[in-house]
Amino acid sequence: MGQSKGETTGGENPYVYRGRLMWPLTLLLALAAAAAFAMSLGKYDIPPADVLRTLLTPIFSSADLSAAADLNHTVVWSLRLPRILMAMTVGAALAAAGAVFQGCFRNPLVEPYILGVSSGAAFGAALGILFPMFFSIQLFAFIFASLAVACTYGFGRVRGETPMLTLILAGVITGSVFSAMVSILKYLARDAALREVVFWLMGGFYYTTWEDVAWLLPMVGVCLAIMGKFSWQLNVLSLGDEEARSLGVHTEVYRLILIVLATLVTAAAVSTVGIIAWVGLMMPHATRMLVGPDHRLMLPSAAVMGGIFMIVCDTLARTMASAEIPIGIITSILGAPYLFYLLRTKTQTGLV
Amino acid sequence: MTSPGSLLCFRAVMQQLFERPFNPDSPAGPARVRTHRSFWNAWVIIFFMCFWSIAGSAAAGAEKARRTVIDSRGVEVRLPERIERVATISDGLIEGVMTVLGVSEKLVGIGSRSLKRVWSYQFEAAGGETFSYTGGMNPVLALNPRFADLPVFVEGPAINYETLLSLKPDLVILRMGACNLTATDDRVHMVLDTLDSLDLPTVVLHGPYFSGKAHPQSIEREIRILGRVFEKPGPAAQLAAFIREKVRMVENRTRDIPAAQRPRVLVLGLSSTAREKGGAGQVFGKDTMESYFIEEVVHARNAFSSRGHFKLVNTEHLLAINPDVIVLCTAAAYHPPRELFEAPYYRHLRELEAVRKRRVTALPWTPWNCEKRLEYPIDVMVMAKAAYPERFADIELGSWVLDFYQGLYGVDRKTARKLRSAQWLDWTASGPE
Repeated sequence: MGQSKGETTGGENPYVYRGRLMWPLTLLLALAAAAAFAMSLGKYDIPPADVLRTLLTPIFSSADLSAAADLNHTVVWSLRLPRILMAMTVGAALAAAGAVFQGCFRNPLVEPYILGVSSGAAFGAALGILFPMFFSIQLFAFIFASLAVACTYGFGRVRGETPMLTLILAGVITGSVFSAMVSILKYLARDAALREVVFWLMGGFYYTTWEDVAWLLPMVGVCLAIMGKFSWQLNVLSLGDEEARSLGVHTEVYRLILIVLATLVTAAAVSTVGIIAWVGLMMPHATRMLVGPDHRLMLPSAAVMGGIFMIVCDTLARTMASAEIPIGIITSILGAPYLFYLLRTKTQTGLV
Repeated sequence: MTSPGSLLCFRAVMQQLFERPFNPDSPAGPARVRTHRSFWNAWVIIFFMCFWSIAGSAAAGAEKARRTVIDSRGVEVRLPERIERVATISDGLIEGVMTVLGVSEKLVGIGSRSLKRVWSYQFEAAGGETFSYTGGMNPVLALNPRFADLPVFVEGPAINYETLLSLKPDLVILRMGACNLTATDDRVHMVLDTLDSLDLPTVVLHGPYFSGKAHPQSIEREIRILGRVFEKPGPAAQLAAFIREKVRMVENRTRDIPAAQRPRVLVLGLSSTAREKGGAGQVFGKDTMESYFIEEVVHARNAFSSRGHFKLVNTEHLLAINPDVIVLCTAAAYHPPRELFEAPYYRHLRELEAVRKRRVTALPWTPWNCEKRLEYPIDVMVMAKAAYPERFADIELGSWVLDFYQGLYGVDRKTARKLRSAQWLDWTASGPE
């Protein structure tokens, strides 16, 4: 990770640290602004004042709505708001999970799908699509995403320890096995089911409901809070096992806790909206360039950055064309140049 | 508006009021009573007349506004009094029926890009020569060029509900089983719940595969429902009967063929996707409409005896199947017999009996063919001609296709030729028509 022991254990200049504290607050304001902007945008034209009125009406008034206002209410409350909240939650989950995995594995190229969670979810979703009589797609995806990571961890464990290299290799193997099983299901699937599997793999927020938000938002919120609680330990873990042990940190336990939490939020997000690439890899990098490598600031900032990025991408996905543009296309088109820009500018100014 | 019932009531009231014998013992005296009563009676009558008139009009209006239709789900859908703006999700069947019924101008938004796209396709022969096909399109686009400008509000499985709302449709018609609507039950319910929350009347049709019955009767049912929706049940019934008659003609000609003399026919999709996956093509099992056409209408045998729709098979499997007749269908692209005869990537398939004997034919260009549409009798006739050329020797396919388009869409010969070209069926023309 290229960070020194002094930076993460309190040796940093307190003024610089306090200055960096401004970043999470600024990003929170940016998140609120992005959400507000996204609320006012859509193919169905509702003036921003009406959007605000529609948002506030159920809170402050129980008056019956007129037919037009009723439709506005449906668009704002049933179509836009759950989608924006879902985009924010998924973005935050993937970005924070990416930051945790990168910290735990001390590797900036790691993304949340490293331990096979996406392949497991894809297999579960394909099963759910082919055999809808048993469980919902979402439940299947979540179960198999978690199962894939459990397998990875099981395979990667050697003599009571989990060496990083073994774990990553186990993740690659598990991912390959589940990918192969997805291919088998695709081979067996009828044309229609095959098409749906392919679309599911592309990811998107088009099926978001309040039920999804109601279970994902609190779950991700709680997991992120616990991750935040362990952010100092993540700082220590990112120094390497020997340094961590010398500081009295039980690396196996904390790594397991953090990986389980990151896997949980990733599996929950992927099982709800499909596989969305780039966010978990790119947002931790972008955040690290803004606030530095200290996970106490970086982790919450990455979550907020992920939320902002995903809201922007989803808003573009639903407004740029008359139909929807797959969000994966937008995350790649926006994400890659942005990361490239950050790399160039921040490297030149010596901040990275 | 006054109903016969209200007229009867009115007469009864009049009798009650004017023909009732007065009370001669009244202190006011008979004449005065009669005058006083007549005055009030007149007002009562006026009141009743007004009441009946208003109530009658309201009831009639409500009756009109309550026009309903039972869709493929068995749900009674309340329709608007006048349908002026329709949005559809379908790959051509709904739009085709609307064209036949003369209401295609009501279409304001579509759920399938295939309805506005013009295709071209080319392949290279072994000698390096390139064959190209251009100007292929869905027949409904050829008949309604304005469809090219209609907004599309569906991409893959994603419906952009806000775009749909902005089109202000007063009716949405969905065809479950269309390529963009092949979702699982959960997602179907989600789509329907959302449309319901948007207060959009939604008529749902079930295509044959979606309804679980690979049988053309499902299509007939869909046509009849659309006829009731647009208040044209007669023309819709005629349309269904026209299609049925075309299929029945083939059925009647081939029914008596003994089982032992029935050739083995294989519908084969030469999809490039199949090649990319290591296969040679895609075939259709016993549970498909293609198989129904082969076995129940044309009275031949489906050479692929397993189940599956667009089932991937490799070269060895195809050589093992070795059908007597091959019918090439639209599979990701158009595939003429020449591709099978000349393309370098199919050199191993030239060992097939059907290829050696040149008993290979091609179905019309049918993009996004997840469910069959109005033109399916052409498929049946192409299969029948290929399986039993001697039995259908009197039918000149090119002219038959033109007659079919003319009968189906009520168009002139010139437009029928345009439709034939749009489906890349010009190869069927031979001699004067």
